[in-house]
Parts: sequence; C-alpha cells; structure tokens
Amino acid sequence: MKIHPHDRVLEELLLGLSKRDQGVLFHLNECARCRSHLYYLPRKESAAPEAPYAASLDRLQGRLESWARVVEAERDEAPDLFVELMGRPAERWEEILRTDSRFQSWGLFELLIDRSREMVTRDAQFAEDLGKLALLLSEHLDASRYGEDLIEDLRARAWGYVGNARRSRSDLHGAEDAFREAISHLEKGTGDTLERAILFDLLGSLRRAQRRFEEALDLLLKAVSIFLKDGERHRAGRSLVNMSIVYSHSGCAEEGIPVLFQSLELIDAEHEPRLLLCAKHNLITYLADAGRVQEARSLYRETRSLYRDFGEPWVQNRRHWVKGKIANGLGNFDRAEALFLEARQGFLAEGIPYDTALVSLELAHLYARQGRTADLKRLAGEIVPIFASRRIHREALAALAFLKQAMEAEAAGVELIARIAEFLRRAENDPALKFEPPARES
Amino acid sequence: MNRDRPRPGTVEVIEILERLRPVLEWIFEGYGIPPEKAERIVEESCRVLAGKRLRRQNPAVWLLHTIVERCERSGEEEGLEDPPA
Repeated sequence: MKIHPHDRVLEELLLGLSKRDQGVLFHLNECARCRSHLYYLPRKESAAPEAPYAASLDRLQGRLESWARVVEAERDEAPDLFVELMGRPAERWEEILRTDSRFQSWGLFELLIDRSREMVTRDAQFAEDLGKLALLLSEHLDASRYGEDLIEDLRARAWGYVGNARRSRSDLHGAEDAFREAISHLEKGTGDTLERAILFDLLGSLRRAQRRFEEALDLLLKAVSIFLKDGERHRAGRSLVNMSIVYSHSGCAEEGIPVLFQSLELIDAEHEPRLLLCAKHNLITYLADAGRVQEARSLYRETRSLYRDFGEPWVQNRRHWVKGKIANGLGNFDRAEALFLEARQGFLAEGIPYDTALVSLELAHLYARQGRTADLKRLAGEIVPIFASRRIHREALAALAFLKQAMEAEAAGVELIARIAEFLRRAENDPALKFEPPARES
Repeated sequence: MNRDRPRPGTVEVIEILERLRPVLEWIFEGYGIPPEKAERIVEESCRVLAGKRLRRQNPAVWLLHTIVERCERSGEEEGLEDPPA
C-alpha cells in the first residue's frame, strides 16, 4: 500500500480487532524483529499430502464388494444344485451343464472341484468324473463376469485332481496327460502362488509313483518353499510328510526322519489331526526300523491319545504293529509277538494281504531269532491264505512262496527272512521289481 | 476329521484390504505404480482371494506378497520397454 490509510480506516481496524489482536498490533509497533518477520509471513503452506491412490482404492472397494456378493450368492446355491445334478441320471449330466444356465455358476464349478479332491481316497473314478464335469462346466462360465484368468486357475486345479485320481488308480500315463493340461492352464491363470504350490505337491506324488524320486523331491521342496513364503505352514507340513514318503519308497526311509520332525512343527493339529497322526506314526515307524527304539518309544507315548482319537481298524492295526516293533527293539519278545499277532489278525480281518504278509515276516524274523522252527512251520501254513489274494503282484508272491518253502524245510534263517521282508517292502511301491531268490542259508 | 476354517469371504477380504491400505499406498509409491495400474493390481489380487474356496492360513500375507510380486513384475515389464525417442 503506497498511500497512508486515513485515520478512520485505522480506527475501524483497531475497533474491529479483538483484545488479543490489538495487543499483537501494538507489539509490532514496538518490535522491529517481529516486523521484519512479517516480510516472509505467512509461510507458504506446505502442499497437502498427495493421496493419489485413495480415490482408486475407494472405487475398487465398492466394485469388489458387489462382485464378491454375486460369487457368494452362487456359493450358497451350489450345494442344492449339486444335489439336483447328482439326482439326475449320470448320462444326462453333461447335457444339463451345457444347456441349463442355472448350473453354469462359479459356486457349482468350485464345489465340483472340491468334491473331486475329497472323493479321491474313496472312489478315484468318481473323483475323476467330477473333475471332468467341472472342466466341462468351465466352458460355459461367463469369462467377463468371473475373469478368464481365474477360470484358468481353477481349470488347472481340476486337471490336477483328475491327474491325482488317475495316479491313485495306477493310470500313470493318464495322470501325466492330466498334469500336462493342468500346467498349461496354470500358465494362463492369475499367477496365484498357492495354486502353483498345490499343483507341485500333487505332481510330486505322481513322480513318486513313477519312481522318479529326484524330481518328486525337487517338486515337493519347491512346494514347501512357496507355502512357507505365503504363510501356509500347514500345507508346507503336508508336503514334508509327502517328501518323507518319497524317501521311504526310494529305500531311504531314514532320510525322512528329520523331514518328519520338521513337519511336526508346521502341521496344524486342530485343522487336520489325521495328518498329524500320519506324520507321527510314520516317524515312530522309521525310528523303530532304524534302531532308534528309545526315541520311537518316547514319541509313541506322546502320540497315544491321538491314536485313541482314531478308533478305526486301519489305524489300530498299524498302532499294534509299530508297538510290536518297539517291543521287539527293546528285547521284549513276548510282548512283540502278541502285538504282531494282534496286528496280523486285524489285517486279515480287514482283507489287507500285503500288510498281513509284512507283519507275518516280522513274526517270522522274531521266531527265527529265537530258533522256534515249529512256530516258523506253523506260520508258513498261515501264509497260504495270502496267496489267494489278487492284490499281491507276481514277484511279491514268488518271494513269499520261496520263503514258505524255506520255512517248511527249516532252512529259513534270520538273514533270509530279513532279505525277503526288505524285498516286499520295496516291491510294495515298485511292482516292476524282480525277485531273485537268494542262495539258501545252510 | 478335517475341520476347515472359514475361507476368506467378502467381508474378510475387504477388512484385509483396509488393514493393508497404508502399506499398499507406500508400496505403490515406492514402485512408482500409477494409480490406475495400482487399482487393477489390487482388484485382480483381491478377486483371486475372494473368488476361491481355498483355505488360506494367512490371507493377508498372501495378498501382500501377491501385490508386491505384481508390482515387481510391472516394474520389470516397464524396464523392457524402449525409452521414448
């Protein structure tokens, strides 16, 4: 302002000021320091913090909510649609999925895939059928609604379960084809690391069945690494159990021991107590077989209550068997014999010939160590029903027949029995293994 | 015997997103991701999370890793492009 203000203007200014502001004005009149500060006041206000992402994320939240509401509504309807579909004749399922739009939903797609996974241990053929139905349904899903890449992820998983079902039916070529499809769909998917690790784990089981052990271990290790990175400790624990089985099938069960110890740290017992029991039971067995009997006994004691939670014969027969191994290792032969006999009886009742044969060999080994030839001869007679089974392959039967003859001829020593038992253990997971009769002990 | 935990549903995914939001904004800024692209990355990742019945032990960790990986990939893709003449 170049012109001095009129007194009236000054008066108006003074009268318009509060007492506090009048005080500030009079102070300015007296204080050159504060007057000089006025030249650079007010300070330029710092720019408001930029929030370039806030608007985007707000917009997205609304969109995401409405999309997910649709998906959840479809999930709610899916169980009824599944029941309705299964209630129709199987030969009409494909036609219904193709033509009835009610069934062309994300919820039913997911449910079919989940059922395919769940069915594999009970009915592998049905598991495969459900997986293939899911794949057929996926051809009729609205990609613009659900996202093509998300559909590809689930196609990959469906093919993975189809492959797993084929593996469990010993259709290894078919399983290989299915996994090839799974990988090809996964590559077109969202890049979900969890999906990738699940597929690696399933493919690891196929490689194990194909006896491509190095590849199996490599895939499972990759799966474990991804699971751990994503905070999926339980799934990592499951893959470690799978790895220990690979070691066992490759004849290196002892290498599975540290792997199983690690899995115990990761498995969520509340979520899947059966997996915890499986890991602990395998660990007890491997420890006992490796001669680490005290450790096996201590872990068995810890696991007793978990064994009790699973009363079914499948579990209890194995519990008796492993207890027998521990008793045998501790030199408590009477107890071991009683437990082996109990396990053997259980396997016979359940119609599980291979395990009947294996536990019979543990008994034979025990009798041979004690020089109980009469009991060995009796056991040889009891092996006969096992031969009637069609579920033991030719080479394993040849080994058992050889042993039976030796036992009857009182020529079966500890070493021969141990060698036949080892052959049977390996042949269980390798039907191509050839039996070569060892030279008889004198 | 399996006792499944609830899968991340809509509410949980939105809650996770809310919780991660300050970190996400910081990550996007760090990677120099434009807002539109950030929006797409978060949307795609959240759809994967909410769109699958998979039981995830730690969905927040998964979401964070996925978004960071996508930002990294996006940075790599940008790096592959020729600079403007």
